[in-house]
Amino acid sequence: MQHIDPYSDDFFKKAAEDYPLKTGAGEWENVAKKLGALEAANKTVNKRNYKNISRRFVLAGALLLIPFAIAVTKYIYINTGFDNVANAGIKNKQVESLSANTVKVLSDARSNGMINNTVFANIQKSIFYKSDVEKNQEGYGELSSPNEIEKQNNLNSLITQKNFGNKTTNLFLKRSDKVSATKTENTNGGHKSFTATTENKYKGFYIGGAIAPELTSVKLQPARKSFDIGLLLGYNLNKKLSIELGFMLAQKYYYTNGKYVVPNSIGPQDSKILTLNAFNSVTEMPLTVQYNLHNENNSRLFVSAGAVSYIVHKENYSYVYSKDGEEKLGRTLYNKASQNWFSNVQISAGYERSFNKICNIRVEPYCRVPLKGIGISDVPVTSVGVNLALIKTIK
Amino acid sequence: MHQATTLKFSRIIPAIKHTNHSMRVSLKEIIKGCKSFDHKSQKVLYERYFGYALKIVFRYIYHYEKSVDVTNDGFVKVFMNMEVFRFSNEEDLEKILLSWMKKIMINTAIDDLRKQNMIPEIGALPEDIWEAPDKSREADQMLLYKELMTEVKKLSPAYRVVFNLYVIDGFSHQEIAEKLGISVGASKSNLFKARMHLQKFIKQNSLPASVCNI
Repeated sequence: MQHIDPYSDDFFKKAAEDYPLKTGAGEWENVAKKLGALEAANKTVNKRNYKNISRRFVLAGALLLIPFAIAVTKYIYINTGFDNVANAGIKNKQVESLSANTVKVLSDARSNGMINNTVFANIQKSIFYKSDVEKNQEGYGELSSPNEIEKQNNLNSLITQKNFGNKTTNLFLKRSDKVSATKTENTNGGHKSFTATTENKYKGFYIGGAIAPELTSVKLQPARKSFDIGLLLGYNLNKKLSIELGFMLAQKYYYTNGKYVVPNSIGPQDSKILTLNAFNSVTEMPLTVQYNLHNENNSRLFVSAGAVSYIVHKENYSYVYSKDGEEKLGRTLYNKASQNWFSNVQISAGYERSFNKICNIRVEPYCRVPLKGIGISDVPVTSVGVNLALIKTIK
Repeated sequence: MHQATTLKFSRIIPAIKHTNHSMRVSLKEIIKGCKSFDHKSQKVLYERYFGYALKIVFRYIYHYEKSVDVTNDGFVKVFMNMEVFRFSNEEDLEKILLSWMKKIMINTAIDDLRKQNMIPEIGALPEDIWEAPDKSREADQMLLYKELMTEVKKLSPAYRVVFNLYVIDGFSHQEIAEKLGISVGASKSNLFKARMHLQKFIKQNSLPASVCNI
């Protein structure tokens, strides 16, 4: 039998536990009724949320379609231009070879005395523009020596060939085809541009939407399921390298024993956290560099590495703590945002494939290893998940 | 293991009355059922711990019918938030659950008091809310506890809440100040006044040593 001091707190505690209040007045029906009403309301809210999420997805899809439409239009435009330039190039080559043959025949005929200089000039006039030919043919009548004539002929031939591309190509092109005409005027430039575009094929920005189911754990303790959703922005530096930044909204659940919680970060002062369950609402920003192991037209296989920063918006902790030898349950909610820059390292490998020529679909398993803790509790959280993304290239 | 846990807890809180059905179902299964919103499991949990919860709420509200309503509201919160309830150690499951429920009940009671602007209940407590004393050795002790709880009612709600939170439910002054939106100094002052009142009552009634033995 233990005596309790009637002035002590223990006496009041005992009284509060054992006082003889009637406790048979439970009304389960009332509770059941309220629960039923709340569950029904929750279902309605969930349905509304589902509708809202659907609407957001449709809106996000529509927004993604804008750059996609711009990209497609540009792509078609460039493709048409390339066709004309390419055709023009082929035609030029044909004409150049024709001109070479013609000039050769004409020169041979003139040197053999089959035609004189006047006839030669007239034939040239019938083929070429007068102004250019006249410039080239000036002084023909004054040449008397066969050697001088031959030299002049060779010179003419060279000049003709040089100018041939520009002028004769115009004969082969439709007048209305401004794009090809413009390109043809700078035939050599056109080829350069085409080559440069081929080299730039891999360069450019891309944008994407991603979802990522993941498992979060603290130092290999029991894992909890979490979920991320967000946007990806990237730039392809060349065929091999890309740089990417993500903005992912995530709901992070994790469990840890008190060992990894920074003392006095949460819970009452001078208490010791024994176990902690956390639910955090965060924005994750993975900044990664990707290296393509294989990159062909329709697919690419890559590995990536980078750092992940977190902006923690809401932290909801429920924990068991011990204070003055007693174990108690606590719950704390923080609505203040905290930033944890580059707190995790991310490594991943992924496969991306063209999906119906509209966009690319990506599957990217990843692992995030903590460098430091996140949130007020400063717990180091490891995440393993799969990024499922739709990517659209913007040229 | 389960029986041992139940018996241990029954010693701590004798008011809990276990039905045959609820005894057959382990607490872990009940919680699992509650997490999936199974009404049978919810009912078992409610019936098992209603008494425990009502005694907590009554210490704050001091109006029996209202306390029953507030307790029911507290249980609704418990069931709606059961998803976030986590436990690691099955041996201490009941202790953890009760600690969690206690917090919910206290918060619900304080919310209700706030709605009423902490206006004190007028009039004496009716006799029919108390269990009839039996002829056991503990009858005197029960009577003393009843009188003591009746005396606590005489405190103003502001004093009573601080007294309950600090002395009986183990909150710190900092936590009380945050919970009630008062300063730490005000919390300490309220507690001091509440203690003085109750000590005066104990001194006046010069409690016999026998009732202070457990």
